[in-house]
Order: sequence, then structure tokens, then C-alpha cells
Amino acid sequence: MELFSNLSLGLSTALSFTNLGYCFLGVLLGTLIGVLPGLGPVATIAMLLPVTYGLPPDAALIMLAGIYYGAQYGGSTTAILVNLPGESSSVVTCLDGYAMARQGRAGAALGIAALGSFFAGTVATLIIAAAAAPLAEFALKFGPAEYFSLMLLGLVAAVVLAQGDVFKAVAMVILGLVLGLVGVDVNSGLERFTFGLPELADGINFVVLSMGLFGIAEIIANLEHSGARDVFAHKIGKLWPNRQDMRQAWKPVLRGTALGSILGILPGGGAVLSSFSSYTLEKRLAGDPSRFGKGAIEGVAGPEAANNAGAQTSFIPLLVMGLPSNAVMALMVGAMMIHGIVPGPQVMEERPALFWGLIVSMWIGNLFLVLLNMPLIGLWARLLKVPYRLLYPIILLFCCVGVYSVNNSAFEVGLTLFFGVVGYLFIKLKCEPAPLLLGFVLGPMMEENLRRAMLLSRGDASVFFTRPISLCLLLFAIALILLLAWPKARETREAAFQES
Amino acid sequence: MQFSFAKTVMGAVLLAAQFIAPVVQAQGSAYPNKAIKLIVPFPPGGAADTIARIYGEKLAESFRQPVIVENKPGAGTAIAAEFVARSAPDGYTLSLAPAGQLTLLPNLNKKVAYDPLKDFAPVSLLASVPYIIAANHALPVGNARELIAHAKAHPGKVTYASCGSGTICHLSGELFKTQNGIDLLHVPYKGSAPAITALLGGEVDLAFDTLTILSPQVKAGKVKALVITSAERSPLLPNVPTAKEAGFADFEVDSWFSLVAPAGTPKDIVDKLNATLGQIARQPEVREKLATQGLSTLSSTPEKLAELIRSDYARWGKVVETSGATLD
Repeated sequence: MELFSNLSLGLSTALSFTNLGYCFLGVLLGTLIGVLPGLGPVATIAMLLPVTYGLPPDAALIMLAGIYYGAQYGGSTTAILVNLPGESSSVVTCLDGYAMARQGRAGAALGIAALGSFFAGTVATLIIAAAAAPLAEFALKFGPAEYFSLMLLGLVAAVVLAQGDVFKAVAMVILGLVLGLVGVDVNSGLERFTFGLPELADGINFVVLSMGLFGIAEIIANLEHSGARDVFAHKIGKLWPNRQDMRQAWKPVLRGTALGSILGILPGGGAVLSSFSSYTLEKRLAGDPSRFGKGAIEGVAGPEAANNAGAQTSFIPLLVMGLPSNAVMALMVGAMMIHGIVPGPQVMEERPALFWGLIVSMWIGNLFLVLLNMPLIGLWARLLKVPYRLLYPIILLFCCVGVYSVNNSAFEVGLTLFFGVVGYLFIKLKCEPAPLLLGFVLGPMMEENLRRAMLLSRGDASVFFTRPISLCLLLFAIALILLLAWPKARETREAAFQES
Repeated sequence: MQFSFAKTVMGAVLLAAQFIAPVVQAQGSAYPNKAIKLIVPFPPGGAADTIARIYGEKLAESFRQPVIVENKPGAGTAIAAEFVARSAPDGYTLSLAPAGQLTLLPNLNKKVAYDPLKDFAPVSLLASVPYIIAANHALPVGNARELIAHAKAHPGKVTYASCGSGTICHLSGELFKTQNGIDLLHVPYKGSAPAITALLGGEVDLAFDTLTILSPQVKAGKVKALVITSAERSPLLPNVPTAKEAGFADFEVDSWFSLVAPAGTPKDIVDKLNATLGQIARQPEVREKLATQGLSTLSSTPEKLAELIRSDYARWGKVVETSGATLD
């Protein structure tokens, strides 16, 4: 079997003593830096990239992959503990993860996130090893029409994310779409809604928006009533997920893994959509959807698995074609170029030891992540025992450091604080920020692909219905709308929206 | 009253300046005596960042002072340019300036808050990369002549991808269109990676992009290269004819990377930097590292670079004018 000979070649590279060491070091550094609020994978990798320049190429790439997984898990940790998503895919982890932490179940949430991620990572690694090339071919079939229909489906699903009033949810999605318009328009190259500020030319940074709306707003709201933090401090509870948690979580993990593996392959929005759609799916399938948003473990397990599977399979376009599908992968390309490796279709043939070594070390990195973090969970959860008057200034400080480090821009620090105040208003108005963020992330991609599809078809809108993949996605979206409108389904949805 | 106050302050400043000036000069002779910041107008990863880090490492070695590469991406390189233009001209803030930042962007967007000809002290060229016209295998053309015939037979039907509106990728496409009297449909993408993905998937027929980006795809046979804009054939793609060989001598597109300092940087500092960069550019290790990515290592006198900036600025100005492209 070619697969096994490839994997054994990879194992022989990855299991060398030095590479194993660098993999561990990468995971450790990634976790430690990624756990700082606001520092998601992109910022963490950008910061640690120069550390790898002195290493041999395979060790450098293996270490970077370790940093990536570490940072990603670190981002989930802050999402669960302090409601600060480090990147777009951990936004949904905030919803139920943070609610679990407030109930004293931070340990269970962190544990299930680590175990779910490990399972998803294992499956996704096997998928890459077995079928990277054909999957990359499939991803190429996704043109602008397909992307548009996929994004539309994602937005329709976004309404299900909402906890409260459905009209407020729709309003928040639209507000997100509008915020997404800020910056240079891809098609014309013209600036929109930038008020002449060059700092806004590239749009509002996701980290800025999400940290403001989630983290800073949460801090302001907590400071409002002095006793608020007692819910955290009075008990941390069990540090590990119990048997019932496992029973509730294993199916969402399986579904999340499948969703994430598929969507992760698509360049651009894939990884973001995977965690959102996993959450939506779990909420739909749940016997009692009203638990979601109030600490449902399925709402952590599914999206975290999807997130990690997507993170893994998003390597496929880079590995097979040498084309990075997102900012993290672009950094990996930069690292390859520094080491004189030209990323491209030939890496697999020209440097098989490096190629398969990297794939195997992805799995080893995931293993290290679990081994490293299971003992650390107690430590993270205990952080919540720090008195809030000491904790919140530290969080605020790290937020500012984190935001500044993304683009070395002081303007963005100010913008984060502005969105913190806006987020506080949203809390007062009982408006959920999650649909806003989904609209913000998907909106610009949806517009870009809609206009590109129309440009390529010379203004013929039928292109969305004549291409089979696009048609299927649109039919899904229509089915979802009908399902929402159907009386029986409506009952369950209303139950889902009711505050208990 | 107010006026005399201002006068007093000014007098004090002038007086202070007289004392400080010799100190500054003394620092100049001992340059560099602290860490140097090298501003890159793109995020980490990518050709500009790679060049900055390779040269930065070598500069640090020969100066025995740290060189910190700082990425200040945004507004199509304008944010970094403004930052450097407003920095102290003391040789401790340097800028990795790509051709587009100094010669194309200010032509497209008259509102950028820097003057490429007045705000910078040119130091040296560092590297350059030629452009390639690549085609999807489904497009029935084997060379650039056939492409023109095909485009003339199917006006407006042939599409090309660029790495963004108002980039050299885009304007090189517009230049090729106007020079040959053909009509191609421009489809902009957010960077080179999605543009080339679209070319591979057959979403578009052509792409104008750099040798760095396209050579791995051409070598792997995923797309075909019609023409390369360098003066000589590239060792990476020896079978691809130059624009001149193919009969398009006017199709001159070259993306270079230079090092500039804020205007007013003392001449001895500029000269010292220029000499050190020249030595670095001669090191085989540096040339080799850049060559694997299709980048030619270059060096120049500050005067030569100033001249290149002026002539390219005027040339792109004309291309922008005839194509009607603008970002205002």
C-alpha cells in the first residue's frame, strides 16, 4: 500500500529526536502565546515565525505546524474562560463554552474541546494522507457561483444561532454585513466607508471587532454589578468531562469532524463556516435546543471538532498546489520560501520526506496538544479564582497588546475599545453579537463572489442555478427557510428562542 | 505678545539645535549604534517580507546591531510609506519599498499622503522579479501571438485574473491590452493565491503575475506560460520566451524592491548603508536564496535608484492615464 509506505516515511522523519522536540516546543510556545487574550493563530505564528528561521527546513515547518495547533487551542481556551475569541472560528465556542465556565464547568468544556479536537485532528490527518490530491481537485471546482451559494446558506443558518428575538438576529446579521463593507472594494479597488482614514482601507480587523464585542463588552458588563464574579469563584467543579458529558458529546464530535473536514478544504471561508455550521447543526438536532447558549456541551464539542478538522484540511491546497488558502497558510508559505523551498505542486515529489513528515507531525502535534493541555486544564480553570479586580486589568492589558501585535497599529487598539462600548450597548439591548460576526465574516466574501460570478457570466444570473453544486447549495438554503417557516418546526424554533 | 513668545521659543529651539547638532553628527559617524527598524509594507510571508528578512539578517551581522523587521501592512502599502515618510531621518527607520508603492499607487490614488519623489532618500535596489502571462490549458493558444489573434477573434471573451485592482498584476494586463489593441476582461482577486487558484480551476483564461508565484505551477505543467518580461530567459523556466523575443519589446514590466530611508537622512548614513547592501548583494548565499524564488539580486547607487523611481513613476502614470484606471 502506497499510503502506508508514505506514512512510514513520514513517521521516520517526524519521529527523529530533534523533530519530535521541535514539534513539542512548537505546541508549547503556541499554547502559551495563543492563550493570551486576542492572540489567535495568525498573530502567534507571525510573532514566532522568526524563531524558526535558524532551523533546518523540516524542523522549522514541523515546529510551525505545532505552533498553529497550540495557538488554535490556546484561542479556544480564552474563548471558554474569558469570552475572548482569538479568531473567527472560536466565536461559537464562546457561546456555550463561556456559559459552562460561568457554571463552574470550565474544566469539562476545556477537556471536551481538547479531546474532540484530538479526535478530529486524527481523522483529518488520515484524510490528508489518503486523499489530498483528489480533494484539492474538488476544491478547484468551487467557482464564485458555488462560493456565493455556500455563503448564502451560511447566512440563512446564522439566524438559528440566535438565542432571543429572531428580528434582532436578522438585524444583527445585516449590521454585520454593513460593517463588512468598510474598506477597499475588491472589484473596483475603491474605498468605501473609510472616512478617508487609511487605517480603515483594509476593512475592520476581525480580531478588533470580536474582542471588542465579546471580551471588552463582557468586562464592562461584569463590572456593573460587583457580585457578578462570584459565579466563577465559588466553585470550579470537576476538572474533567464526566461520563454523561462524553455520552452527550461523542456524536457532535463525529458530525463536527465530518463537516470541518469537508469545509476546511475550501479556500477562504471554509474553516470559518465549519464551526458555525456545526453549531447550527447541533442546535437543530438537539432534543432540547433551549439549552444552547446556556452551557450545552454539544455546543462546544461539535464546533471545536469541526474547527480543528478544518484547520487540518486547510493545509490541503497548500500541500498539493502550493497555494495558501488563508492567512495562516500564507505564513507557512513565507516560512517555506525563507528555507529555499518553493511551495508548489512538486513539493510532494521532490521532497517526499518533508511532505509526509509534515503530515505525520500534524498528528503528533495534536497528540502533544492533548498530553500538554489535559494537565494544564486545572491550572487554566484555577485562573478564574484570581479576584476579578486583579484579573480584568490584566485581561484588558493583554487585549491591547494582542490587538497591537496583529498589525502594529495603535489605531486598532482604539477601535477595539470603541467596539467594546458598542458591545456593551448590545448586551443592554439583548442583541446577540454572534450573528453580527457571522454576517461580518461572510458578507464581504459573499459580495466578492456574487460580483465575480456576475462579471464572469457577463451579467447572467442563471449561472447560480445551472451549475450543479451551486444549485444544490441554494436548494439547501431554500429547504432551511421552509423548515423555519413550517408550523411544527416553528414551534421548536420558538422553543429554541425562548429564554427559560 | 504672542508673537514674541513664539520668537523666544524658536530662538530657544535654534539655540538647542546648535548644541544638539554636533551630537547628532557624532552619532552619524558611529552609525549604527542601536537597533535599526526595517519597515515592510506587507504581512509576514511573501516576497517582500522574505527579501527584508534575508537582507535584514545580513545587515545585522555586518553592523553588529539588531535589525528588526516590522510588518506594517495596509492600504495597499500606503500605511507603511506614510509611516516611514514621517519617521526621523536618522537612519534607524528604513523602508523595504516595492516598485508599486513608489511608482504605481501614487499615480492611481492622488490622495495618498506621501510623495514618492520627495519624501524618501533612495538607498539601493535589492532585488527584482519579472512578470509572466500564464494561460489555462483549455485556452487554445500556444504563444503570445496566438493569444492576440484569439482575443481579436473573440473580443471581450478572454478573461484575465489579477492579484488585485490597481496592482502591477492588473496594470500589466491593461498595458498588454492597450499595446496590442485587444479587449480582455479583468477579474480582480484578493491577492495572488486566489487568482492563481482561479486560473488552475479554469475560472479565468489568463493570469498576469510574478515569476515567483507562477513558476512552480508552470514547472508542474498545471498552466502554460506564454511570455516572461525579463530581459533574458529565466533559468527557472528556460523554455519561456522573453517579451522581446516574442516581439513585444515595449511590454516592459518589472517589479523591483528597494531600500529607502526618510528624506533628509544624512548622506554619510545613506552611503554606508548603500555600501553594506552592495556587499550583501554579492554574497552567493544571498543570491542563491533569492534565485530559488525567481528573484534577481540587485544593487545600485542611490542616484540610479532615484532615477529609476522617477522614470517608472512617469511610465506608470502614462499607463494609468491611457487605461483609465483610477482609485480616486
